[in-house]
Amino acid sequence: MNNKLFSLLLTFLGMTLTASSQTPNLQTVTTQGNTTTNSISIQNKDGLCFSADPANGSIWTHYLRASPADPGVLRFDCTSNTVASGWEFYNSDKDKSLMYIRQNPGFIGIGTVNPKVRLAVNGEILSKKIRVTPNNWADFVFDSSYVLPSLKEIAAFIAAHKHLPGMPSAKEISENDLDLGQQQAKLLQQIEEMTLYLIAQEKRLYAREQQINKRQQLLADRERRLAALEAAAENE
Amino acid sequence: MLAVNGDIYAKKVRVTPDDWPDFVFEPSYKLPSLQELESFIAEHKHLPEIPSAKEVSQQGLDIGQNQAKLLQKIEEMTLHLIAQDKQLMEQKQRMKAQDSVFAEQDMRLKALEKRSNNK
Repeated sequence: MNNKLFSLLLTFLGMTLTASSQTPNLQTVTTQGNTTTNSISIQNKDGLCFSADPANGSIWTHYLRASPADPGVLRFDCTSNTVASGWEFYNSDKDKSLMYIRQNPGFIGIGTVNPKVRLAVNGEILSKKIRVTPNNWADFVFDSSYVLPSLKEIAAFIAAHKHLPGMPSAKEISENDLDLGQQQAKLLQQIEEMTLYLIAQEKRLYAREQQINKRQQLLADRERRLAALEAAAENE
Repeated sequence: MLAVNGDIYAKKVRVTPDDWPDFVFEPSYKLPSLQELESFIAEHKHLPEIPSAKEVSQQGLDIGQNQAKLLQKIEEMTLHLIAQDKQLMEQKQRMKAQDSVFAEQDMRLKALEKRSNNK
């Protein structure tokens, strides 16, 4: 019984050994165009490497390998330093670039192959939250040294330029883009300034209210004196 | 979720802030008075509920939330402006009424003067 089991086990082991020796290794898959249904495991520190430049077929420029700095991280490594090099997610069926990473200086384009900033999106971004770090936050309006323009000056500026001072014009926005963080800071500045105008106006309104009340009393007083004079004149 | 140490360019950026401030126009909303606002500014050097320059440089600015806050401030200012406009109109009317009382008194004064001159 035991012998029978043992020989069965031997036969099974032999079969698996034969099977694995018949499986093409990665080298034959890549060089001979063979296919394999087995998973492929790579333990070499250089992982997979590609020659991305057909003209220089022997120069390996792109690696998919373990990060030596961060264990557990797989690195898409482009070792070329030419500006044109990078990584692209592409759909050949639609002949369309989905995402393009220019390795130098590290710009990423989504829907564009020519990103001019860190992250360029040729379309909309939808997010629950976006945070930016503007460097012109407008608390300076409340500094004692800040010279608040008068409303008269603002009115003259608006008449001449048809937009608020410090704010980009419609023309500027269409030519350049709108920096959301800076723009929020500028809007805040306008709100802060308007708050100061409102406070100043409130004070003037209050002062005028007092003046009107005082005038009311003066008029009432004059009314009494006049009425007395008129009564005296009637009695003469 | 996504951290970019540099510029992001997009044709359009949409966010979904969850605190859109229409509550300012609810009857239950307590609008801070301009006097309260003035003393807050004097003490803190920024508007109430708006992050300070220091906070913004440390934690960044949440664009959606900040738009909501800016709108809230604009809504509050609109209410103050409307109130001031009403007060201005009232004052104008009161002054107009005073002007006509003044003119009427002036006429009566002149009549009295004429009478005393004719004596």
